Amino acid sequence: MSKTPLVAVLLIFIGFFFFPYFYSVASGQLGKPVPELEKPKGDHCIEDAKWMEENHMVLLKEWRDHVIRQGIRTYISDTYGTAYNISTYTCFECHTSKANFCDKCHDYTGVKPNCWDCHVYPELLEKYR
Amino acid sequence: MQEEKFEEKEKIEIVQRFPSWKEILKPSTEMKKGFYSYAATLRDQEYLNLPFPREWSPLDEDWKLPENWKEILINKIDELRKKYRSFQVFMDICVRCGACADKCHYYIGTGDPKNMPVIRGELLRTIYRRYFTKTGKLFGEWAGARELTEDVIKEWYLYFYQCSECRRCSVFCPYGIDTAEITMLARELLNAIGISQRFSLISAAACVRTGNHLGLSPGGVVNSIRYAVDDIKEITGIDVEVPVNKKGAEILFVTPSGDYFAQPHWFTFIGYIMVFHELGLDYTFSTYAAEGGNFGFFHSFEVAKKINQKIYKEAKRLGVKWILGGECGHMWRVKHQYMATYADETYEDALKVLEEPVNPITGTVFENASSTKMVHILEFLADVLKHKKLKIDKSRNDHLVVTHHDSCNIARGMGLYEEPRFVIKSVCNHYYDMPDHAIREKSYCCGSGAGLLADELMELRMRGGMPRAMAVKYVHEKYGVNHLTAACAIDRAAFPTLLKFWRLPVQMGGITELVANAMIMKGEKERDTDLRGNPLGEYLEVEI
Amino acid sequence: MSVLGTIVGVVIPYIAGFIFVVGVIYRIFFWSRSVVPFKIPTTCGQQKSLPWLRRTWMDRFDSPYTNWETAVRMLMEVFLFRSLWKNVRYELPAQTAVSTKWLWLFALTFHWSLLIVLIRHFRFFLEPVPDFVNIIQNLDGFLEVHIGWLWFQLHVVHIMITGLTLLVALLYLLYRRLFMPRERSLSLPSDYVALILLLCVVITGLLMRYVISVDVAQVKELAQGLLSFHPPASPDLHWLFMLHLLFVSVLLAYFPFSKLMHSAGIFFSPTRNMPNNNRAVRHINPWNYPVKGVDWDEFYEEFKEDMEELEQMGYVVKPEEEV
Repeated sequence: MSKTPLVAVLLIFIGFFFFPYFYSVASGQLGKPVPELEKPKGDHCIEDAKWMEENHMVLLKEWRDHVIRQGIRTYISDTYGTAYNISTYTCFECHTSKANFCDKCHDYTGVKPNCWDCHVYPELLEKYR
Repeated sequence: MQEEKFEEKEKIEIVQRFPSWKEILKPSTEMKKGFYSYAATLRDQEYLNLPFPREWSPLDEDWKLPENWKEILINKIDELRKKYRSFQVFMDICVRCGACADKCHYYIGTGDPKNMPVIRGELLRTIYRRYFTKTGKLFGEWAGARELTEDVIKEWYLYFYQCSECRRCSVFCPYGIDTAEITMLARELLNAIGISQRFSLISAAACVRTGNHLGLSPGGVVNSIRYAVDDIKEITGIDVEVPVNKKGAEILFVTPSGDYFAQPHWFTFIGYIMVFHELGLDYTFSTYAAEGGNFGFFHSFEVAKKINQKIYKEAKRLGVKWILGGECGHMWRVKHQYMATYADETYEDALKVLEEPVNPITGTVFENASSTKMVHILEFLADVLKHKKLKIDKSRNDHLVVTHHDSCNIARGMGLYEEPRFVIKSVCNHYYDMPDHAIREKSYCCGSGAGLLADELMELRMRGGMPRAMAVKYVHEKYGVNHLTAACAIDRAAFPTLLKFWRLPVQMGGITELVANAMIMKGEKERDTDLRGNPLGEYLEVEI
Repeated sequence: MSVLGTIVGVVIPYIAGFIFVVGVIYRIFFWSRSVVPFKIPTTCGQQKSLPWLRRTWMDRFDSPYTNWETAVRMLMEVFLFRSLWKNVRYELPAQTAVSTKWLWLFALTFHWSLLIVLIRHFRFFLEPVPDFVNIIQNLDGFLEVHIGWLWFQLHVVHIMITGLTLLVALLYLLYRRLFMPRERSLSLPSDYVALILLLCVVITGLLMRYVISVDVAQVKELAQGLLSFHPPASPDLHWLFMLHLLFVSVLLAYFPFSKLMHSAGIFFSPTRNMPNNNRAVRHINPWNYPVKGVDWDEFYEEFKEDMEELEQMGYVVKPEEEV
């Protein structure tokens, strides 16, 4: 009876703290590194690739607001000074697969963006073209 | 010039102070009149074989502590933390959220920050941290740790004898930290270096010697009972016989010794006897186990055990089947939570005769007392009244408007809430509860429990009883309550002074008194007064 | 960055994790080594006695009789803060106590938010990310907002509610210690240390989410590396994340030595984890030892005259005969 709390706390503690370890061991994916992404076509992204890794969601949100709320359709790259048409199709020119590019990282980090609630993505385009 | 007695003061002031945490770490050792207890007498210390018996006074500069007191104390802390998980855990896990702070009636009444339950615990915790935790050793006062000095001992004595072990703070604590438990262990620690309080030790020593706190000899107990049967004859005209030390009785009746002659306990006492007579119960009083209460409980494990063992021993000697306990508070904390655990071979010995308690009148089996074999009189009475085994004339209590005070120990140490209410409502027409924050598990203490009933603590008691008195005042003004019941002997002793101090025209009494009042006995003469001689019928104006 | 990266990203987290695990396990074994001599539940509801007496469902859990009722009481204490719910504030001039639930509200908010935030962090430690983490994330992030008027641009569209409630609750808990006189008096430096450490963790976390974005894929790679005991030699991550990780490490290492152990301690609290069936089930005190008291024979000797007189009375007290 006087050991019940010990057992309970140990189970909860070990369960919670070591759960990730056992889970990853069970799934066989323990220590999985960042997945290899499909190399996009083209020379460079619209901004610096490293910056894009961290901030693409900011940019995409900005694009959305520019188009929908302000009707601006052109984006001038900070890094390269070139103009781009604000559209998901601009992205698709180089990033030709959602599954092999976007999803890989998003699945890995558990990010579920709501882009595809409305937008079409390359695989879907392919299917209905 | 004669000093004004605190009881007669017209006005008191509550000064709330909020010192910084650093100031709180400094020991407060001012022995203010009305707040400190007298030191135990040499005679009692010696009689109970306490460590380092000596004459001393809290007012002395030098408390004549034993030479290696520090070592003794630290070893004792180490011993106790292994013996009591409550101590070890309560020392470690308090987060000082402050939920308990204004739950202590002494804090409310005095405004002294050291009376907050959390700080009361902190008095001990600071020392624990200094000597038993790494952070305390490393960071000192920045980790809330302080050196053990004589001043700390004085502070402990002052403040751990300003706690009535009512457990109200424990109800509100998110971890159930029970300051009563901390206080009990702190008193145990103080005892280890020869520091004890006079009031509880006088009673405890008397109880060890004579079997009751008042130090009545067996003849004295018998005389009390004789006066009681005389009184009963006068009130009802009935000859009542009371068995004492009767071998082979079915039930051993144990009650707090205050009931034997104190006022207003007396009416509860004759109430018991009247009810038992009317039911034709086969019971007996005992002169050896004449005391239900246990003042040793307010002092140390050993003294408590010394007093506690008598009941099972007497049950065995008399060959009773089970034990019935009178209306008392801390007695029931001990009987409910400690008695069978304290008892070692005396319990196993007594089991040879004791049986699972069965009410001989109704046949009800008290399953909840199947191991300890001890039943509370209110459980018993509730059962009897539910089965209508007593002839009750409720209107005999019509001159009273009643409210009930849930005594701390039977409330928060036992869970006896509905029984008293059922019994009172069965025998009274006018019953009103006090506001929610003052009853049941949130009940305020009378301010005099756990050995603080001493006269020298009068100011503390009157201040500590203030929240309770104000709750009584509320129902008095709203419903005209003029009778306060409590199933506790200390309450019955404390409240008359308290109610008088707070100028409340309310009288105090036990619950069995009301039952006996309303009970129509076989062959009784016409009654026009209650047990106290107050006229029946018209609303009773209580004099302040 | 590389040496610093190794120290903050690999060495310190490992040391902190080790201290945390060993410390917590040591503490709970240490606690359970102390024995429980008495069964001392705080009974906050009607006891089980006569079957027909009113005993509500809440009474059964506030004053539990069986083990499962006790378990429910513990669960309510842990998950709902049952005791804090009862909190009242004594009002001196009015001489009454009024119910106050602010502490309950913010304490509960803080702890629940923390739990959900921790579960959300499982996305870095679990591979593949399980559904329950995704579901919690979706629920937590159901608020989709556009705030353009702030001095910074929120770089996400979903607000994670628990992250913000965590911050608000922490700020309230700090506020009451700083500005309420009673709480200020009873707070020790260690109380602030815990709060401020938590605030640092929360603020760096929120900054990463809403203001300065960090490459989370790399974060997960580091987490997975640490978890598999094959950490990257010199992780080169964003400074803000490194700061976040450092605060978390300090918090973990501080945990076993501090009052934060209350999270485990509540399970050991004898006033909450024991049933109120004292008189039905005897509790055994493992270190109980006999104490010599006055027994019957000694008692009889001392009061011999009285006892003999009682014997002559036939052990019965009767009213005096009228003369």
